[in-house]
Amino acid sequence: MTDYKNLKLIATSNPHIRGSETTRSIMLDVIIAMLPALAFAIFNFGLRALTLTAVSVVGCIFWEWLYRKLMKKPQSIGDLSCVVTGMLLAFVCPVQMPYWMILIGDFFAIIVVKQLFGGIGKNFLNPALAGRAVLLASYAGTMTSWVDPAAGKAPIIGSMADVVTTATPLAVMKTGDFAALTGTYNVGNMFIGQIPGSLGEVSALALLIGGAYLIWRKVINWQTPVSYIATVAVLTFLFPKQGSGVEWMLYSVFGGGLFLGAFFMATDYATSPVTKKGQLIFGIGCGLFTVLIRYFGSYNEGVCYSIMVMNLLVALIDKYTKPTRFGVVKSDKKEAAAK
Amino acid sequence: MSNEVKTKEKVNMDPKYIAKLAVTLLVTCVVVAGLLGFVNKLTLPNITAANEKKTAEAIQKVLPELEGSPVAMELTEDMTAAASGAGATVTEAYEAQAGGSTIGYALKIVASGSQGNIEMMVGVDTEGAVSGVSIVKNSETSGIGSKVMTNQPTAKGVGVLDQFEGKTAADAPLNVGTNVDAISGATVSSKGVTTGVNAALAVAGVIG
Amino acid sequence: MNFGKQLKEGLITNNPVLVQVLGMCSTMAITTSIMNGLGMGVSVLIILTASNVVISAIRKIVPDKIRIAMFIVVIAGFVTCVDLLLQAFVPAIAESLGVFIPLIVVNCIILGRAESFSYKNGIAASFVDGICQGIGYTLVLLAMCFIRELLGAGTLAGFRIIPEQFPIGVLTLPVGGFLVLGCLIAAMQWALSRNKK
Repeated sequence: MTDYKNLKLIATSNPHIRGSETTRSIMLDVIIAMLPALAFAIFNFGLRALTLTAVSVVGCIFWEWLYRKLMKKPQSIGDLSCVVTGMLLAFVCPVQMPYWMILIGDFFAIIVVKQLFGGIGKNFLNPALAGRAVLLASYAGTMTSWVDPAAGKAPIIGSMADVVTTATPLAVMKTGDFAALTGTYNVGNMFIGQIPGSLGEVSALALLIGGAYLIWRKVINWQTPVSYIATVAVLTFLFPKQGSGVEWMLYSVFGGGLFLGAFFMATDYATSPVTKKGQLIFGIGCGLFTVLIRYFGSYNEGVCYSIMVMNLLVALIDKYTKPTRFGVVKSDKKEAAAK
Repeated sequence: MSNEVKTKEKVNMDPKYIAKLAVTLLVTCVVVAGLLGFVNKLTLPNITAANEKKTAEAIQKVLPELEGSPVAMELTEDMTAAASGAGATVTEAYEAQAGGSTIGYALKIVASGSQGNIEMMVGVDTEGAVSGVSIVKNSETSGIGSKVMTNQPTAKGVGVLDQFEGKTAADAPLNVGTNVDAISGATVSSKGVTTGVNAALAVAGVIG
Repeated sequence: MNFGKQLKEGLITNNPVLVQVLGMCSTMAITTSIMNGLGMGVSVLIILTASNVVISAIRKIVPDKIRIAMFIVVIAGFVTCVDLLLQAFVPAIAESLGVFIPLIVVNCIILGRAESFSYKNGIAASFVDGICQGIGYTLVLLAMCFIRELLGAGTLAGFRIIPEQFPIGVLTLPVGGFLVLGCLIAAMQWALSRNKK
C-alpha cells in the first residue's frame, strides 16, 4: 500500500505508472491471463495443481510480508506482484513436488532475488525462474520426475509412491525415440497439453489464450513472445534431429515451457528491454539459447536458463537500442550509444 | 637502508646495491629451501605410506582378493591407444597379486560423464572378466547422476556399478540399453561409466 | 600495541574477509563443511602468524626493492611446510582442501598483512596481528561452513542434523558460496553502519 505519509517524488526504474494503470491493475491482468493455464493444469493433473499453486502464492505473500516487516519498510504485497511470482513458480514445477519444497523456492524468488535487490522493479533476474533454478540445482531428482497425466492424478496430500512418472516429450526427443513419441502423443495432444510436464507449461492453447489477452490489454508487447517462439520454430525446422522438419518443429514448440516462458517470463518488465527493438533482440536471443541448450546442453529443457541468461544482458541491449533524441544527426549516434 | 631511493623514477644501478639485493634474496631462498628439505625428510615416509594405503584400498574394492600392495605398471602406448579407442583415458595401471601369482589388474580410467570427468577404478581378473568398479572422483549432478556414482540399484534391483561384474571382452562393447541398465534419469552418467568399463576391458586385453 | 584493539580490528572493524574483502577464492571454494573450514582457517592462522613474525623480524635488513619477492619466498616456505605436514598427519583434510593449501601462497590476506602491517611494525605487534586476523578469517569461514553445511548438506561436522531429502543442495555449489558470502558481507556492513550512527 502506498505510504502517503512519506510520499516523495522519486525517479524509479520501470514499471512507470501512467494513467489509470497501476502496478496492481497490470498484475491483476497477468493473473487473469494465467487462469486458463491453471484451469487446464487442474484438469490435466488433478486438484493438487490448485493446492500447490495456492501454497506457492501464500508462501510468496508471506515471505514478502515478513521481509518488509523485519526491514521496517512499507508493505508492498498489495501490488500483487508476489502473487504473480508465486503462480509462475508453481507453473514451472512438477505437480507431485512436496509443498515444503515450493516454499523454499518462494523464499529464494522473493527474498534473495527480489527483496534483497530492492523489491519490485529492481530484481535483475525473473524471480520465479531464479526460484526454479535453485530448486532444480537442489532437488534435481524431484524436479525432473514428471507425473503421467494419463495414468492417474497426484493425491492432494500424502505419499507420492503410487504416482506413475514418465519422461516429458522433450526428454524423449533428447535421448529417446521420436517415432515412439509421435505414436503416444499426436500434435493435437501436444497443443492442447495432455502431456507430462511442469504444472502450468503443458497447455500451449491455454497459454496462447492468456498471452493474447495480455497483448489485447496492452500489458505486454507482441515483440518478445513472437520473436522468441519464431526463433525456436525456425531453428528447429531447419535443424531437426529426428523425423521431418515440420513435425520436429511442432513438437519442439509445443513440448516444454516455451509458451509459458515467452508470454509470461520473458515479458517481465523489470528484466526485459524497454524498447520494442530491444524486445525483438531479447526474444531472438532467448530462442537461440533455448535451442542451443536443448540440442547441446545436458538438460533437455532450456527455456528457464535461456531467459535468465538474457535477463543478464538486458542492460546491454537497452544501451544499444536506446532511441536517439530528436534532432540528433547520424554521426552523433555512436557517441550517444557510447554514453 | 640509508641509501634507499624513495623516488620511483630513478633506479639505483649501483653494482654494490644490486649485489646486495641478489645476496639477500639468495640467502633467504637457501634458508627456506633448507627448512623445506628438513620438513620434507620428516614427512616423506608418512606421505608415501598414506598414498600407498589409499591406492591399495581403492584397488582392494575392485579386486577383493588382493594381498599385499599392488605393483604399479608402466603405461605402454598400446594401453593408452586401447583406452582412447574405447572413448576414455587410462591414467594408472596396477598389477595385483595374491599368493605369489597375478590375480588381476586394476586400471584407473577417466571417462566423461554429464557434468565433467568421472574417475574410476576398474578391476579386471586374469580371465578378462570385470571384478569390480568403484568411482574415485566425480562431479555428477547430486540427486541424479550421483545415484550412479553411489551404486544405487537399477530397475532390475542390481547396483548400477555391480552389474558390470563378470562382464568380459566377449560382451564388449557394453551398451546402455542392450546389455547394461541405466538409472532412470541418469542415462548420461550411466553411459559414462559404461564407456570407462569398455576402455578398461580393452586395456586389459592389451595387457593379458 | 593494544591487544584488545587489534583483536577487535581483526574480528570486526577490519575483518579480512568481510571488510577488507581479501582471500575470496579460498573462502568461496572450501567452505562446504565445518572440518574443511577449521582446517583451512587454522592453516592460514599458523602461516599468517609465522610469516608476520618472520617478516617483521627481517624488515630492517630487507631492501625495499625486493620486499615483495622476499615476502613470497617466506610465505611459500611456510605454506609448503604446512602442506607437507597436513599430508603426512591429517591426510583426510589435506585431500579435501586439495589445491587450496598451496594456493595460500597467493592468498591476499597474508601478503596484504605483510605489506600493510608487519613490514611496518614490531615483532610482538605483528605476532598479535597475525593471530587476530587469522581468528577473524577462521570465524568467517566457520560461519559460512555452518550455514552451507547445515542448510546445504544437512550435516554438521559430518553428523546428520536434517534428514537427507530436505537440505537445499544449491548452497554447497559455488553459486551458494557467492550467495552466502554476499549476504554475510551485507549483514556486516549493515551492522557496522548501524554502529556508527
